[in-house]
Amino acid sequence: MVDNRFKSEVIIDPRRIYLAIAVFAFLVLSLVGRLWYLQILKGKDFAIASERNRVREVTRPSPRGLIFDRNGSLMLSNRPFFDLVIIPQYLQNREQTLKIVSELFSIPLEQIEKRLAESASIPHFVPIRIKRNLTLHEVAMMESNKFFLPGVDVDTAPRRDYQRSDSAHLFGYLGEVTNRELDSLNSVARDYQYKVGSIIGKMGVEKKYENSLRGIEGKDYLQVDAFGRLQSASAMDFGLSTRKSATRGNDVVLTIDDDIQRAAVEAFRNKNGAVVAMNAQNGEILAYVSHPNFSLSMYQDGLTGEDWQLLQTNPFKPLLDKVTGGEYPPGSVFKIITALAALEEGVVSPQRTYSCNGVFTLGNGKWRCWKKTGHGVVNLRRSLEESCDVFYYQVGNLLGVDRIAKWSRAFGLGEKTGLDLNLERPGLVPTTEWKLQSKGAPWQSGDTINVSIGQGYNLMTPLQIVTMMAAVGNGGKVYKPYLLKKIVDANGNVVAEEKPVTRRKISYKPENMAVVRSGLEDVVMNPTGTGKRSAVAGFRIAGKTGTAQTAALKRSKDQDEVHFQQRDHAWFAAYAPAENPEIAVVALSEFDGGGGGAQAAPIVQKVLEAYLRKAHPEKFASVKVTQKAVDRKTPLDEQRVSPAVDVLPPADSENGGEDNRNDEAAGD
Amino acid sequence: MVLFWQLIKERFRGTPWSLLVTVYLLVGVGLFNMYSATGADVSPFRFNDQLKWALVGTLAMAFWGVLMDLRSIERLSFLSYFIVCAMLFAVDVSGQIAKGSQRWLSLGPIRVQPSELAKFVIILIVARSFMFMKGVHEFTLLTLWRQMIVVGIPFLLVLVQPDLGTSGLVLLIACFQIAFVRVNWTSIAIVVFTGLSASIIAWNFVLYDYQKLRVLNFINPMRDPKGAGYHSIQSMIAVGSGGVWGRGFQQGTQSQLSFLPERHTDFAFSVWAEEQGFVGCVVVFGLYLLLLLQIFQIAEKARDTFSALISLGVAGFFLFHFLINVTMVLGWFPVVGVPLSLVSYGGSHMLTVMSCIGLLIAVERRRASSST
Repeated sequence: MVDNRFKSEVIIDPRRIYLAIAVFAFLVLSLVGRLWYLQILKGKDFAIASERNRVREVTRPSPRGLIFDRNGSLMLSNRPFFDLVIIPQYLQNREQTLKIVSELFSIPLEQIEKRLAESASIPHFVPIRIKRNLTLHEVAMMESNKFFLPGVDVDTAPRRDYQRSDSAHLFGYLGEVTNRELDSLNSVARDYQYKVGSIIGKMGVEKKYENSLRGIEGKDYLQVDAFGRLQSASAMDFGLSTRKSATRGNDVVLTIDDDIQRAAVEAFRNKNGAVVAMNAQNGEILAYVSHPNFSLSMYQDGLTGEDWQLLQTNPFKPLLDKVTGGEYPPGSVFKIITALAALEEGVVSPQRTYSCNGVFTLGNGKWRCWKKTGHGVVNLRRSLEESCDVFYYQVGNLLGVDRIAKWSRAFGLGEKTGLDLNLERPGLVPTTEWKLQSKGAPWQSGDTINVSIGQGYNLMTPLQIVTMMAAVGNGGKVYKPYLLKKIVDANGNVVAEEKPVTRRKISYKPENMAVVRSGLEDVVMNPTGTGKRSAVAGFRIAGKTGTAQTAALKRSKDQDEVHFQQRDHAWFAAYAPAENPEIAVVALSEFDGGGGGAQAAPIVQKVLEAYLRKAHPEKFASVKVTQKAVDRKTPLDEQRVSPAVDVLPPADSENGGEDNRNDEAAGD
Repeated sequence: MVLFWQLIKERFRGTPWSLLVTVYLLVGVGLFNMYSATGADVSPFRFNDQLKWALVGTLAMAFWGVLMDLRSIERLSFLSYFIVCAMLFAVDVSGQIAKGSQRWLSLGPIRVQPSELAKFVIILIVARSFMFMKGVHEFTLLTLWRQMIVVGIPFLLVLVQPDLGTSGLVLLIACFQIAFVRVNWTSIAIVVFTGLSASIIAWNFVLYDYQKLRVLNFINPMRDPKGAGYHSIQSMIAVGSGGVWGRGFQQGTQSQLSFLPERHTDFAFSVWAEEQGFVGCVVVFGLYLLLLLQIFQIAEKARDTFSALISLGVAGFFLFHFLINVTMVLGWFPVVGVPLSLVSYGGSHMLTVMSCIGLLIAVERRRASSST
């Protein structure tokens, strides 16, 4: 039974054990001495310190950094908000106090009781918010009655001052951090820890620059008596009754120009969709609008369940940022790509003409031009100006979809632009391979016909179109769009800056692009151009209209009779000045029902005007007088054209408008 | 039936019942204190939790002390050492992935803190490493290379978590054990001297001013009453205001008004001091002194090196946790996350502590069986 493994002799020195016991006993004795000192000698003092000076550590939220536009004008700031709070543990005559509060602030008594009951599980002596955003009158009322209402108080917190109600998607809303966000945020940030209840940016600039904007929260070390009332400093205070004030977050200066932003908001007032303006020479975003807008202050004040439901179920998707997250068929705007691809691939020469008699036939399929009477003999330049569909059906058929896709990719379509704001989407550039893989069906030549005028499987975001448009104008540089000019700390030091990044440099023959660009100029500058309503007198502007169908309609219908979700999207994309563009603008009015030339071009016109007025004031003033003459020459463009059907419909008497309309007909 | 009882009796022969009385008195103090500190909250789940862990701990103690015997523990020591090292490594790796400090490891439904278990296996492995050493020869730094490697690995694995406190404790416990073997005083002096001179050199030539400031704030929290010192000061106010007899059960304003941070874990003793006063504190000190004396006595009576070193390791475990926690609570030591064994809240720690007590039972049972 005895194990030999344990037969070894003990190599422990027993004297060392006695030594250890002695040392330990001595240490315990000195700890008793320390206890004697703290509890018996100084016990009274500490008891007083504990009794009279209940120092409480109270966290103070930090004001978020301010948001400025590129010229330094304030876009978003903070102001103090006052909340009515109750600390239940300090309530003396609970019944009576709550009744008085209920009457003073006209809050139903049951509601107060409900709030207190809901908050029963939070730590003791933490203020419970009863009413948010008190008026100054209410604050004064509370202050004067404070002495009679122990346990009731006014809490001050800096919050966002949403004076302006526009551009919710750009700024983004704030909200309490969720448990999931808490884990991911805190595992990355080592120097800052979020807590339950921390307010963070959940969207837009507030989210993207959260780390800079949030600041460092302060701590108040308050001495309060047994009733929670503030005490003045007294004998034993350890220098505690002070505060570590909160540090405001760093300020963010955006590339947005607020004048242009406001012009875009104003021009887009009653439309849904997106307007985005970008510096064509470096990718700075100048204006960024997504509609419908939603209320940021509603979020800050705590969204009710009903409000949230309404936002979620609204068919116009107000919470979706349509600049980066809205994927739409680009319509005729896409003809720019088809045109350049055709020239570069040698499919057509600039002089080559096609005859448009209003219809294009391939196999059993027939595709109609938006202009049912046809455009007659059209070359490439005129095909852009008048947006002749038949020309692009011909050219697209010769090109094939994969060459169109190659040139789409060259302009950065089909991939995220890299702005990294609000769940950016990549869009879709269809290819034969893509269709085989995702739809399991081979590519049909009819698919190409649709794609060549920007219909079919094509999907693009307004932000992609604006970078594409800038690249057309600036000599082939596809920029990464960006929003941040600089981040400035409290001392005015620049902490971070963003620099232009060229994502792609497209190589093409300059003479080919010159043809395309002159066609785009004709769109705006010629009386027969589809986009003439974007003209700003005194400037040469280039642009392209687009009217994208959302559903293949079986019968010709007036757009007003169509369910709104099947109405057409109206696009207009432009750059100016045409010779050497400084700005590119895109407007997308979704489910508009009207054509791009009629509905989207005037919006772009207002944005361009706001920019040009600022950038070239002299030039602008000198020609202003003559503008009226140019404006509104053709009353016909108000008219609408009916969409076409899959097979040739009977001739439509209403037809004849100069609005362009792209007809997608399911040819097979 | 009689035979069955005889078997049971045989199993429990040599169990150090007086030691267990001391242990459970301290557990009782802890539970009483826990109920006072957090029971007044709306959800007294921490008390229930701790009660549960005390029971689970008792099972762990019975496992190591009664179900196993010292021979099988010795055979398991390497295996458990490697398992714990692997767990520590896994924690480090997952910490790297999560880009943050990581201390927990999820094993199915339970989450364990492998660094706590490291304290337990270090006791076993150091004791095991000296098991077959013979004679009255003196050890020097050179002849202790095995121990350095064996201790160094878990130490570094805990250090990089990063968990400075626990890695320090692992090292302290191991050094404490080794110091009882006849290590010559020159070697001990060399270790102490190297440590001191390294810190002097670092202070004068390596550290930047802001780093020095951090060290100074760490050593003397009073330098920064609003930052590093806040918890120390609150704890001292709590202890001091307890006076001779204390403020009574659930009467401590410092703890009840939650001025005290972590009042159920690291600052559990401040709650005790505030509510039970000087008298209560001296009772706990007395219990701890008694506990340590009992453990040292087991070590002294041990008939083989393995048993003796295990007992000394357990002694070191209790001794360092007690000293660091209490000096911290009394404002003599910076605030570090070291709990007061048996009294503070914490499942993994309770499990480790009770397993250590289980080792002592195994040691005593072995002595009883070999003496016949």
